[in-house]
Amino acid sequence: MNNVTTAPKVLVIVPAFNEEKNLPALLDRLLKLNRTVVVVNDCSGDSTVDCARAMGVPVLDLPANLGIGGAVQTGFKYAVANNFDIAVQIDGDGQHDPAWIDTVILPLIQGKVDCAIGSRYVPDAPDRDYRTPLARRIGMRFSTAILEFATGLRIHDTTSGFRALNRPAFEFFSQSYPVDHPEAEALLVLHRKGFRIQEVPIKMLGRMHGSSLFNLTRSALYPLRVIVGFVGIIFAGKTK
Amino acid sequence: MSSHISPAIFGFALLFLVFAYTIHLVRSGRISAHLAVTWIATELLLMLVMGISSLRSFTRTVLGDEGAPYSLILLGVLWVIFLMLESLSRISLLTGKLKSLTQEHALLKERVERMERSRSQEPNA
Repeated sequence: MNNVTTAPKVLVIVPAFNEEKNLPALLDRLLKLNRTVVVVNDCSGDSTVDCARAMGVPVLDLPANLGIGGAVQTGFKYAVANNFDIAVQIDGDGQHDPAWIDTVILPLIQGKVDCAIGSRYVPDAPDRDYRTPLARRIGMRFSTAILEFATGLRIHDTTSGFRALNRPAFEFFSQSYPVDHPEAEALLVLHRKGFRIQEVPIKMLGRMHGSSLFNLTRSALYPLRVIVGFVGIIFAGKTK
Repeated sequence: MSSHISPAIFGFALLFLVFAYTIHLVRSGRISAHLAVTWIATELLLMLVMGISSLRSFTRTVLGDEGAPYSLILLGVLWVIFLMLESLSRISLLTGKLKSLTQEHALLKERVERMERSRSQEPNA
């Protein structure tokens, strides 16, 4: 894998779906930190696009809702087309503090890994202030266990949307990304392709407005989806 | 005799309704003719079997008197599964294409907007 040595071009990808209330504060914070940002509007029904444009942030305005995976992959394609070295994905709901970006991309700049995950649950430095709903916690424990079973890789925060990838990794994802349920599946795909993954301890903020897409029903179905997704990837890997 | 014909007529009528609905979906553009053609062929074949008594007799002879209903149901279910798998594979293919187009549209739109902005910022614009 290529190591990024000096002054990497970093793109922050913000997938957003109906985030008109959360987006302005997040973008304001990112712009104050002089970050290059692109918002991927996943066919929102509110004024998400106007919020971003009003702040001078480029918007990739999807005409149909593709879900978080399709939105993030669009960001990766944008990063490839505009020759970025590192792509950082952070959620549009404002739960990810942009101040942690430097910490998350550091292992990539040092050439130690290809994908860094901002994690709340690293055993050495867990985020004790962040309260994870029980249903989500159960779903995550399950996906951690099944990912470890399938790869031997132990990732504690498989659903974290705070991720950084170097160019080979996001170039690969721009071509092939598990768009349906990307959280844990993307890690499995990366591992199978030989990319190096590492968790970086961070702290997350509480959601200011709106509710998480990871509700009780989704949490209940999450283990099944993870199994189906993993089986699909493992079988597809042999034919592709 | 009539007690044997009535279910056939009933079945034929039901199949005809499904056939008419399929044609309606194709005519109204809600299903592509290419996607519907195997379903239409299946419905026509079933209507033929239902409508022509010699074909029904032939089917019964081939499958045997006792096991005919079960064999027919099994064959029907297997064929429907095959058709559904074929449809799903086409839908999956089209979903992938639609995703690529949607993403490409968003990327090109942003590029056009950026070019327009830079053009409007030129001094002689």
